[in-house]
Amino acid sequence: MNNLDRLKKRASWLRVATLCVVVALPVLIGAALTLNMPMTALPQPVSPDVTRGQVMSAQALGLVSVAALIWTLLRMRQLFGAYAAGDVLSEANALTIQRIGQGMLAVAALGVVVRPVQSLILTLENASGQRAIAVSLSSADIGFLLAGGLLSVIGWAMHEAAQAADENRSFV
Amino acid sequence: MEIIVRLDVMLAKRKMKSRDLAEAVGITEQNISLLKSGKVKGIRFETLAKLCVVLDCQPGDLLEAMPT
Repeated sequence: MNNLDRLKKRASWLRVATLCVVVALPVLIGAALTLNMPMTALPQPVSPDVTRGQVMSAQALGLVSVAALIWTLLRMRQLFGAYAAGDVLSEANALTIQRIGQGMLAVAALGVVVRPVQSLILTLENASGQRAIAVSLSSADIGFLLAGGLLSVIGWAMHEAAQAADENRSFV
Repeated sequence: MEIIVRLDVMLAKRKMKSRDLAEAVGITEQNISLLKSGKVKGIRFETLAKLCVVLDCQPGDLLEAMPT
């Protein structure tokens, strides 16, 4: 099996796997809502005095990151679909790779921005002096930032590769 | 200066069809057609050599430099 066949086969599997994750995420979130379970990790332990509305608002805010993640996963699925069809070096794929990088950067940035807002929502009803804004940067955020930056740069490099491939195709 | 491909002239001289030439050289008929119409950016030496062998000619019989 040559490299292209290997690529097409793996991309085919990854396309299916990505679709499974895209479908599973909203289903799991819906199940958590139905079963009244916490959907997303909240930035600090929730006190008994916090209202259900505050908790739901904070969790709904966390869904913004999930939406960005699903968007990124759909771009990945698009790329895997192109690879599975044997379309490897093209301008469209280069742009998709850049979009995936941008999506990962957005997921990381949203994670960093949303957590302080969540902590503010959860402590808003607290007495003066007991409200908090929790700012954090996790290893997952750093990982997404670096991976997103890497993919954005790779997208630009693939743009150059696509142009070279196009030039090559015009030679007989 | 532009390079004109005289493949159609050689095909007529050798009484050969594009399809047969494509098969003998190992490229697609579409590429032969693009080559004849000059809609390619270049030709590989390997392809040129095969064309010369099949058509029993020299590169100069296939390629001509014309002032633009």
